[in-house]
Amino acid sequence: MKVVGITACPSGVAHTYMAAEALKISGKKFGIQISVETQGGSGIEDPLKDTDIADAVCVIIANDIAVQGMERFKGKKVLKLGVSDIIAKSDAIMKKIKDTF
Amino acid sequence: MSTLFNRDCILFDIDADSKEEIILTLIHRLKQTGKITNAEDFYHDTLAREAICPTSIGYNISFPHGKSDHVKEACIAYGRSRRPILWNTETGETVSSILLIAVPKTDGAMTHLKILASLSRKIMHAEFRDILIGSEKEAIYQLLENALSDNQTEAELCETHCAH
Repeated sequence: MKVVGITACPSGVAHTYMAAEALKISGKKFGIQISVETQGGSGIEDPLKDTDIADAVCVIIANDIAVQGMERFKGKKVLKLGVSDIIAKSDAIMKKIKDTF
Repeated sequence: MSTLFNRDCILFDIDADSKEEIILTLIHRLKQTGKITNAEDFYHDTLAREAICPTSIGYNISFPHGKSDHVKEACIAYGRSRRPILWNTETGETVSSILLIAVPKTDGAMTHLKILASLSRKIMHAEFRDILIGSEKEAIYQLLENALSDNQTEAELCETHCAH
């Protein structure tokens, strides 16, 4: 199972990367392959590949600020959450996705 | 080897009651390494960043940081407080492990942000956190030294890449 995500936060310094890492750790725990693009203070890193987006069962978006490139997810199931929620509840999010899809 | 960090900049059992006090203690220690030109001005720059949004990140850890004209060379200090320190007055979050990051303004944002990004990612790993929060000086030194050495190379590569 594949999932993609984008993390961002108001200052783009710490939470963007904490959330990205939290999703990766939880993904691994639940056997979900996850790619996370970070839109932080040093720009866009680890940009999502079109093939990863196409294969993903859903998209996780940190919605504290507007993220760039939402048009890439047209027709996909998009889960929008606060960046702090992603950090705190990444395990629960991944479990839910595993159970749902 | 990372030049960002040295053993003298790890402080335990800091007797402070506020985040201002503990930030100042760490800045004074960094000043002794010769990498901060004006401790008081750098202190104000760091507090200005805290005022935008407190840098506590959960797990009893905070990342105060400043990008300042009063920093000659990027450097880091780690401090542990004797008592929990109130870091975010809005949420009531307290911290007892503090990683202070100082970066010169002319350095470009990249190094600074790369260090923070890399440390933020590492903080999410329980094994990294446990050592940072609970270990003695030498283990913390090794942990940060390794983390920063990896990252410094990446940041330098990126700066080279971005410059061309």
